[in-house]
Amino acid sequence: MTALDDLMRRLLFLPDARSTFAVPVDRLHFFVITVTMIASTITGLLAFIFFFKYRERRPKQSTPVVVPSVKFEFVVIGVPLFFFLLWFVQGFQDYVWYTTPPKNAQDVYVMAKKWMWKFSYGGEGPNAIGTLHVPANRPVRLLMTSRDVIHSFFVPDFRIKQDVLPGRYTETWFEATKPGRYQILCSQYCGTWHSQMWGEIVVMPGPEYDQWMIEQKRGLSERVDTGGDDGPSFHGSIVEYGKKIAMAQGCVKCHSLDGEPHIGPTWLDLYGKRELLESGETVAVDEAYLTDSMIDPRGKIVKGFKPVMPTYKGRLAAPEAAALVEFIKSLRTQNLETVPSKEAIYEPAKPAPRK
Amino acid sequence: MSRWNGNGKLLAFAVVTLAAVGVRAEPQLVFPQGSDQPLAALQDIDVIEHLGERIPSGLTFTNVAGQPVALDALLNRGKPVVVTLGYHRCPMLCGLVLDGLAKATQAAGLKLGKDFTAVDVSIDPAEDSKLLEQSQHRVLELVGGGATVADWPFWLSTTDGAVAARTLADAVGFRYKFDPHSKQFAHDAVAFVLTPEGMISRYLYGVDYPPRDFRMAVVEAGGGRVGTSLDKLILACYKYDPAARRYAPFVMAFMRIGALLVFFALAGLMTVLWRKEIAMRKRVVPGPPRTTGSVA
Amino acid sequence: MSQPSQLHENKPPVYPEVNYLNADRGVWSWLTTIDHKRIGIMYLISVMLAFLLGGIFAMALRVELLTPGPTIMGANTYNRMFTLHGVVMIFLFMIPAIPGVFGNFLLPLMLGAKDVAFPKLNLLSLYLYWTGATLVLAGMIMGGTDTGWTFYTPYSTTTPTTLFPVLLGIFILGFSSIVTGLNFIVTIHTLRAPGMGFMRMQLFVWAIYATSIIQVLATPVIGLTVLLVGIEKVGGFGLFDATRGGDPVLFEHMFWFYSHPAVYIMVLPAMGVVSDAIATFARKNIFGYKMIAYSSLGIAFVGFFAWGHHLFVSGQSAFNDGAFAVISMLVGVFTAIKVFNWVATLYRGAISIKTPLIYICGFLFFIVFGGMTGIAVATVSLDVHWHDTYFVIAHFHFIMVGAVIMAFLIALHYWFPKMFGRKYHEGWGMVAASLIVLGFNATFIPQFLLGNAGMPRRYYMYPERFQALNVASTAGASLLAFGFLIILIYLIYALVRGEVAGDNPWDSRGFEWMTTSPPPKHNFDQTPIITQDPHSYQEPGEEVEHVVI
Repeated sequence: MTALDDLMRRLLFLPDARSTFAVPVDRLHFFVITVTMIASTITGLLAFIFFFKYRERRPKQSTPVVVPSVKFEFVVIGVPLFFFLLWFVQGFQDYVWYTTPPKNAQDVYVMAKKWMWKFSYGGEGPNAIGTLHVPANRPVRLLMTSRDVIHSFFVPDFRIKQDVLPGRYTETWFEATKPGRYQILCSQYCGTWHSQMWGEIVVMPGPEYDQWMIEQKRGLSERVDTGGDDGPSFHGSIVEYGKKIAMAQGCVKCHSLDGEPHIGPTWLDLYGKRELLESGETVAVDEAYLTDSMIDPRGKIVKGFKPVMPTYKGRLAAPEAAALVEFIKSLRTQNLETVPSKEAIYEPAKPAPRK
Repeated sequence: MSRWNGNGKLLAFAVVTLAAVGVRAEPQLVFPQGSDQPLAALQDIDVIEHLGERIPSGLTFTNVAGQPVALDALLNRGKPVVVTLGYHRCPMLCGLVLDGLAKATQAAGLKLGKDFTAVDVSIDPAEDSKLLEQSQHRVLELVGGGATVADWPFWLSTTDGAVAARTLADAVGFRYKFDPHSKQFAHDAVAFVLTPEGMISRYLYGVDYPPRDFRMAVVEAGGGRVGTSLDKLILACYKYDPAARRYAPFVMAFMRIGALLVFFALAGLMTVLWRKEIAMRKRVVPGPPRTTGSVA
Repeated sequence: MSQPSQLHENKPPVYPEVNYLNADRGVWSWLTTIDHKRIGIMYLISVMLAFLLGGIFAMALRVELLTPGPTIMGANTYNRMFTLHGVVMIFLFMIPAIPGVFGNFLLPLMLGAKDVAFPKLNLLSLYLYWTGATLVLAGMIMGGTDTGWTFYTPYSTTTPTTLFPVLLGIFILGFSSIVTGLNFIVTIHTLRAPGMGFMRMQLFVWAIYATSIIQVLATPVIGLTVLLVGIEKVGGFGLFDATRGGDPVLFEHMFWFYSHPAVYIMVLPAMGVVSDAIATFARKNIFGYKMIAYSSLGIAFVGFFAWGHHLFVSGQSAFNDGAFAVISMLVGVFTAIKVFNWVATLYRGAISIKTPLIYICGFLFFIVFGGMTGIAVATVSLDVHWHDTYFVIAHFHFIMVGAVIMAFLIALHYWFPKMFGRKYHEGWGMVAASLIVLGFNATFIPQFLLGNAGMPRRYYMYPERFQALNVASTAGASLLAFGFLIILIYLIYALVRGEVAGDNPWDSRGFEWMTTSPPPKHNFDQTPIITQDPHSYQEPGEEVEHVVI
């Protein structure tokens, strides 16, 4: 049975089934899709056969009046309805099971934000951006909310998906069946980098996970949020790593990635630009300027912005700073224009005229 | 909880076809396992909204002069209260939040002290009162219009080690933490709008508040006691229920009325047309004349 | 009714000297016409242009998706492009396509009437369409919007892109749709030729009737919804934006309350086209006339209560999910009835294999496959994986492109002689039809598999494992585009130099063929009297064989 399942999965390009929910879903999927393919092929083929079998043999050929019998009508309505209801009953049972998290599930809080996933464990647990560690063969419940627009939490290998809404909590749960790394995708359109709002679920064997959790709790006070289990986790390109750092260090709280002015200059198209500084000089934004600004943010303030950025000296290792620079360099729009950043969204504090 | 458990399955199936008419968007309340408190604690820097809840009474802080002051004293005076939590060594956000509020007050045409009261509570047990006074001075100048220290008090938490501040923060769902490395508090940029009775009515995020939003937030919290009659009219159309935080019923009512009007208009038209059909059928003489293809 | 074609049996076909196309001359006579046929032709030109535009967007999207990373455009451009592809295809092409073009042109002809009930209102609806289309295009030129054609809040109310003209355009297009629907309902009730009871109407007329009811009932809802979004966006009130007290899911409910029935606004006329064309090319009375007619009404009714299946993963209660799942499946049952009846109509027919039949064959396969994958996504547990992935994209393109565009092409070929009095080239027609059916499969079957593999929709960049299928899909799309190009060329050629078709080249017994092709300005020289059911292919007095299956 499982060999057949695997064959079907291969044929249908389905990813491996790595959660307890995935197995019944796939079985029903195979049933439904097989019937669908048979029914549509038969219909198309039957029409095609009829074209030749009953082709016009002489001009103005007359044809019999064919009328349906009650039995025919009954079959026509009954057969599809039977299959549909069968699938519904099976599907709904699975679905109700899927929407009812077990009582002993471990809770993880998920916060979605353009364009990142943030996880935090109840109690004294760690926080992580982009990477969620869970134990294998134990139910995990996710309590999810969004800080901006609607996102959707989708793990193809687990066959689960749940919209993440601003202003309210939604939940979903899963029980992973095999240790490994599984991709999280955002499946509800959420703006420019919707297609890059990815994350990863790291499923660990139970005891290993417990050990990891203990270490996390012990080390929590010494480390800033990192997603990794062994130092800075670094599984993609340097740009992706830089993006991760930017999220983890909170850079994006003040620097937007989409060209909108915020507390700090936007990073979109920042690299290569010539910025006018508060001091009246201009500076070319290059690697040196970017790195300097991380270490000594108040040194060269772009005109219209306030010296509010704290120093990241000692908080960023050299490779991390380099990755950040690479990430900033990667943020490009098509029509690159070398104009200075727009004004900041606040005005510098000045006293109102006294009356 | 609106999710169905296994027992509901059969019933669900039985009445399943009747449901469509009654379906609407149900808010989802999620409770952590083994708790009946919705989302008690997220150990993170975050804001967990507690709309519609009341802040605890009996919280006391210290004013610049070192005297104890009660938060309750600001309540029940018929004015909404805008609360900020922060500290004044803060290199970035706190100052911006305060400046943002001051600017929004001006731009929204509201009068501090008359339309609402504001209060800033320090979360830093080691707050420097000089720094705090400077901040207060700055924002009051920014607000202008003769606002006084009493309209926007700045309070310290130095005497109780910020316990009361932490209680207040928990009540409004403001999660912050002290980072011993940078000796800074990590926190979000947010201001809280309370009703005159101390119920949490709105969260204002960020450092830049659109004047209209700000005005609406204050007017709403004031329950209509603040603002012009135009504000009240707008509020009547856009009723805001802090507990459910939804304009939904009003949007729904708007849609229902629209949809019903259309439905009855169409139903009326169809009735007329079908009555005509039936009348016609009765009048038709049986056996219409057989025609030769009149047109070809 | 005698056999109109017999009158010309041995004479070469003649092109009627005076017809609606040349009765009045000059652009002004077209712009101010109240002739339903001319309005239909103007709709035809407009929706074809819209289709061309939407198609160009589609090709650009497919090319962009050739590689996992950026290929030919940036993320923001891509996001605007798929939004405009959706908006143009749905609001400017799909919804007005069959009712606007063929409904306008054929409805009075099929009813034996001189025009629609309110000819001036009809012209107004065209102008509303143009106004709406212009606004949408203006929005596009002013920078475009990037919300997707679904305009989900709070994204749509916070996006910095140019949303307002697009929304206003859709609002106005809605009025066009309502006006057309009202006009058709009244026309069908009041202008039927003597002897034509409701049970003698052609099935295309039944389909238009059901469609019009949906249009009139559902379209105001999208109007109100769009209005509310506009109020929120311009006025700054928080109706749907959670941070200002609104409820974003409420928007989804209201949006789909229109947009799901809107699917049937697109599909029902398509089904009507097929019912009529299949009878003509099989030379048979339609099998199960009443079942097909009533199932149109059934779909129109049930379609109103199925919208919630778009919200299966939005966090609505499992009970609601189940209810919507069952109701959605009922739509499948009604569709299945129609499919069985179409295939049974071919049984023991006298089938002449012409271009439209190739499309009909494709249509039958697509609607069964597309419809049953619809049942698959209505099965809640399965939908969890498929929701918002390419599986759903492929499913609705099977219905929208596979069924609706196929039907549009069937209609275009079948009624081309009726509209212009000329024949297209049958050989090229067959080539293009085969290309399109093939290209369509090649485009969208890989997308089903992409959905299975877990590729979400509206992805500008994607993980590398999805690339092979994306390339396959793009290859199929170019085949499809090539097919459309061929059609465009031979139809334009046929328009100018095509062989004169004669009044009834298919020897059809549909009532629209009772007059000349192209018809005179007022359709019929004298009001026809209907004495037979449509598509009765028996000679008068002939011994008719009755078969019950």
